[in-house]
Amino acid sequence: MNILYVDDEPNDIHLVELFINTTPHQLVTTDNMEDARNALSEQTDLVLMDILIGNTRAGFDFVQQARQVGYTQPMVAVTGLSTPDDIQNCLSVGFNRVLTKPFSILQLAEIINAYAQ
Amino acid sequence: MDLPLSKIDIHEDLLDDRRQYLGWMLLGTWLTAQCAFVWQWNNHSALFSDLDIVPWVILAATLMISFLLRQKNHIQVGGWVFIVGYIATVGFHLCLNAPQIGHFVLLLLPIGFAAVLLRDEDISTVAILVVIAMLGATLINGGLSLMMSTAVLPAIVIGITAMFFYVKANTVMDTVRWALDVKVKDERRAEAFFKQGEELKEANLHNLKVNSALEQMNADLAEANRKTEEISKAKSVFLSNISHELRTPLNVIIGYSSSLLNMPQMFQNVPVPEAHRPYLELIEANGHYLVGLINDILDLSKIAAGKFELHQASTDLSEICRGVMQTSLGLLKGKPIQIRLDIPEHLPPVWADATRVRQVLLNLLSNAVKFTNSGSITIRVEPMAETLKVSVIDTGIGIPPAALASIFDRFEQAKQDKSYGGTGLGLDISKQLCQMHGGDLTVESEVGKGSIFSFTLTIDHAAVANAQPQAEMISDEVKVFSTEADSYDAPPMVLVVEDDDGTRQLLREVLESGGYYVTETNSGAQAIELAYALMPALVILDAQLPDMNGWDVLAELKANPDTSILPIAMCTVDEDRRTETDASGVYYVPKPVTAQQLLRCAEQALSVSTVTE
Repeated sequence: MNILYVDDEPNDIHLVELFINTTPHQLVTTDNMEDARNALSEQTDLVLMDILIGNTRAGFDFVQQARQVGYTQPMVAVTGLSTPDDIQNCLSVGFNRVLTKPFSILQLAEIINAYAQ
Repeated sequence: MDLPLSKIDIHEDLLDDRRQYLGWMLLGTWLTAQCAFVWQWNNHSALFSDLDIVPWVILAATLMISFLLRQKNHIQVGGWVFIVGYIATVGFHLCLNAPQIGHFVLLLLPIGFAAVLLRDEDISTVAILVVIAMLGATLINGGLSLMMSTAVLPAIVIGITAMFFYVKANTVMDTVRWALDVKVKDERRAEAFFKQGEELKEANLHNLKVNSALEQMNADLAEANRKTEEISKAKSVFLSNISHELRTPLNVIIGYSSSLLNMPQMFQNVPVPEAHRPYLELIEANGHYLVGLINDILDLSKIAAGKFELHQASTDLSEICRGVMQTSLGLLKGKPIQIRLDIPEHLPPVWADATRVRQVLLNLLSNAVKFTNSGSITIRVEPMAETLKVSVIDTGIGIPPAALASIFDRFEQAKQDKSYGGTGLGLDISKQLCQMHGGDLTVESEVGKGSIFSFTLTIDHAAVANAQPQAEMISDEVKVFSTEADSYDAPPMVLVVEDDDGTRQLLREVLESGGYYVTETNSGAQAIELAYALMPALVILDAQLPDMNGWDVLAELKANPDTSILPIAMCTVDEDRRTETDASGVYYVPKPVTAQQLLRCAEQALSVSTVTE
């Protein structure tokens, strides 16, 4: 699978990189919305997205736009937002799942395995 | 616009009339008396001769009639009666005696006064006619000298006639009115009206002022409202952002420490040295503790800020209890405690927030696990009249009476709790959550024997009536993960009963990699409880267990009609004993267990069995 991971925290990105390197999947990472928009393509099979980029909930806008232009592949929110309202918002703008930080790599692995099929 | 005005005194008007009437009655009577006197003086006759009395009688009669009429408020008629009567009386006298100048004056004066007082124009006409009649009578009778009839008499007539017309002028009327106080009354009335007008103006002005003040207040309130809403919104955003800010570094702490411990392949397959392992575990554990603390503090902040929302729906308690039970097993860490479920068969659904109920139950169970060294922990649900009573009963160390009173207080347990682990906020939050559901969290405890924590939830009668399947707020497609990791899972569940930690771990890893969800225990007795409570898709049973013989466990499971349908895989080195049991749904996995065999066995079991969650 081609996975796109968008997060402005370099440590979080690095952790996921370390994990994906042990799997047969390909990972593309960006830390800003501009690069994210460029990186998203038809080949992307799964998108992992942090919501709070900079000081705005840019992740929401990205997902809404992606869904509007017809991107149908799974998009998973990877975020420190944890209130039920926030989670509901994530689901309603177009995310398929929400993985709240802090998460364990095992949880991420479960999700990736689930979508790899 | 009709306004309630200060009352104008209309009583005065009536007094006015009465005074008028009395006025000319008296006047008339006095004048009549004068006439009588003059006449008597002229005629030297006795006051009451035979014919002389007639006019007096007529006068008396008319006075009486007019008085009576006045009593019935016919002032005009009364007045006329008197005047007519008076004229008749004088007429009688004239018929009896020859008219003289005195007669004219004495007759016309009272009529003149009457005209003034009655303010009736007809009287003037009557007076003129009377004068002409008298003139005629005088001339016919011829009792006057020529000069008198040609000059003086007409002069008097004209003079008196002129006087009438003059009298009709308002000046005299004003004077009379003044005498009768009418003008003052008019003015007083006018003044009263004016005062009223002024009062109304003032009231209007006052109302306008009040109105504009109210409008200003409304505007201020609207502004304050808007600001409050802004602040409320800002609070929500703040709480969300705070959560995010706190969780992000924790992702580094927990993410890296757990990966170092569990995923060496991420780190060029260099395993963590045993000397370092416990400290990494410590870092991870503290990371988890912090997450728990953040969640608790956020909950409390939300409750305190009034922003805590319950999402209540029709909820199946039995499913929640099972899930909580499973999670609690992970907390046991080898302690010899049995966790039991005591739930009646057909539980009605409750109206509650499933997430929060789970939160409360997990809190109670983790406390029970913390403070119990051996024995059992039971989750019991008892139906009551309108509610379901949920209790967590443990055989732990108990709570001394002194501490019992303040056990729900914030941070009260901090000192004691820290040694047992925990944030000290859990019970506070749990109690508030229970209260938000319309019940309360209560505790009974005895030192050395154990504790019972109970709360109630309201039965959802509407759902019972409709008997619909429970509404799951989150659909199957969409899932929410948290580090506490107790989710409803679609993958089939396998119960692993194995006392050797290493073997159990291996079994878990193999099964999980095969996509199964694993619940494990090292106790035979607990295994029976779990099998009954969870109805797993497959039970992997080790023949050798510390508390009970694995074969006995098997026998008991097969004996119980509820659990007899569960497929069971016996892990045993003893090949001979397999012939002892003839029951269906029993598989054998020879020890040492290989991944292949295990997975194949599981597949077999699942394809054959019709047992589903």
